[in-house]
Amino acid sequence: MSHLKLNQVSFRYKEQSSWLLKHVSFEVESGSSVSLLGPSGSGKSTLFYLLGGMYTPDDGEIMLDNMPLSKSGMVGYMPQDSSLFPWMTVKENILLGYKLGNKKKTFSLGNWLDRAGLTEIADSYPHQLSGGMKQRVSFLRVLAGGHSLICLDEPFASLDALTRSKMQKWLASLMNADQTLLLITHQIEEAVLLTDHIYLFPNLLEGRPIEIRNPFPKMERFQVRKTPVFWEFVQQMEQQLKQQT
Amino acid sequence: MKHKAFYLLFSIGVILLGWSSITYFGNFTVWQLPSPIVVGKELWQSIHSSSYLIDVRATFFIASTGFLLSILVGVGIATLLHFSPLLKKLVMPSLLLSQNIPVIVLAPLLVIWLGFGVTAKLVVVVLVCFFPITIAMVDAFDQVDRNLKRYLEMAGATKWEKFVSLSFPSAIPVLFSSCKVSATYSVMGAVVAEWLGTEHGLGMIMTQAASSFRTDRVFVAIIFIVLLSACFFLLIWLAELSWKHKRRLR
Repeated sequence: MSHLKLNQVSFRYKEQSSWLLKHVSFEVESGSSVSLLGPSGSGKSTLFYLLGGMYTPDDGEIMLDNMPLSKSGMVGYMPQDSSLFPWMTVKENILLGYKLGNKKKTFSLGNWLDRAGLTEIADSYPHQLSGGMKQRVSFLRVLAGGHSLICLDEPFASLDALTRSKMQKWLASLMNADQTLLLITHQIEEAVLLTDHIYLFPNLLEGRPIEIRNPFPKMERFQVRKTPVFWEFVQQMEQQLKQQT
Repeated sequence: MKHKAFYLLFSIGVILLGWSSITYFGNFTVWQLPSPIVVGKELWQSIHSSSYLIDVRATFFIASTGFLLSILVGVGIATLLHFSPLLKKLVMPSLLLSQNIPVIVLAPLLVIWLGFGVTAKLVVVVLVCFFPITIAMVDAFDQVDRNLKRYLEMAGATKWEKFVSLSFPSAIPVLFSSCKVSATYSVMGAVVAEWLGTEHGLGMIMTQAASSFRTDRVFVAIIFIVLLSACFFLLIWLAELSWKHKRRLR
């Protein structure tokens, strides 16, 4: 279980004079899932780099399970593009995630490949896979790391609508109840389908986000997706986002 | 492939024709410039001579062993420099400067220090061959995919894990390219080393033939040097092809 807390976190790149993140504060409860919504270039990916330990905040603190997040490798990270190693097979790419992970949990590769529907392509190389397959492998690599906090940075942005829809369902089926999920997305529908809370940053990542609770229970989201109630909620969210930005 | 073979044969044909014309119309003596036919006859005799085979084998041994050592030394130095930025700053300028010293000048010193044995010759070959590999690999280790690097950093990979998972595998195509360059240098290095004194080798044949004005024999030795270099190049090309095939990159 991972409880994440950002307290007044500020950050700017060395070569930049303006702040990219300014006094950002929010919490993510253990086992819950949160979408971060905001305009492009608002610093969402940079926030993930801070969580991943690539940079340290200039001000404020990031706490993971009430301990300062002091080093890299404490969260599972899935980048926008699949970032698979081209000289490694699907199997080797996933095992790399396990080797670099915290190894607290046992990882049965065969079992996971089976669950993810990747058994047949286990010995294939990334260039032989479709975009959707690559993202599946990338996500499995994150799961193999065994981290309880998982950060997904627009994981399905490069996929077509049909594949994205399949992938969202697939991802939801693989997430464990004890895993905490932080998702960056530009798709409000995706945020509603995959996460319990939506944190909205109208402009840059500054201060506290507008927190919206997902009214649809986790188990029912994919069923209500086809109903008017779901789309009314998505439209309301879109209007709110437009008004705020 | 057929086209490539045709162009190769065609260019060889043009060279032979030009060479024959020069010797025919140029009024040269055989010791000044022998015709391709004279060289061909000498080549035929050499192929059927067991002593010539011993000389080719001796040069092949020095060149191949020296080349393999060069790969180890070249990649080894590049790896050390990759892991130690301070060492890189200290060593790189002197490494670049050292390449301005012709090996032919260093070779007599090596004979004084290491004697006429195999060691001095191997050192000459390594000195000629390691540099292209080192320089290429030092650059290649740093030029990695940014996204993959970021993934490894976020995953908390150690410097060694980053090297093993990313820097080295992504530098393999560069290793093959630099090896192709070094492989051709290795035969040249072996011949230069043999000029200093040896019992067997193409370098020895060239020295003896030149001092006895047997220009045709010098040409035969050159043909063998070219063939040996081509064989080395071909072997690396096949190794690269097999590596690509294994990873289905073709």
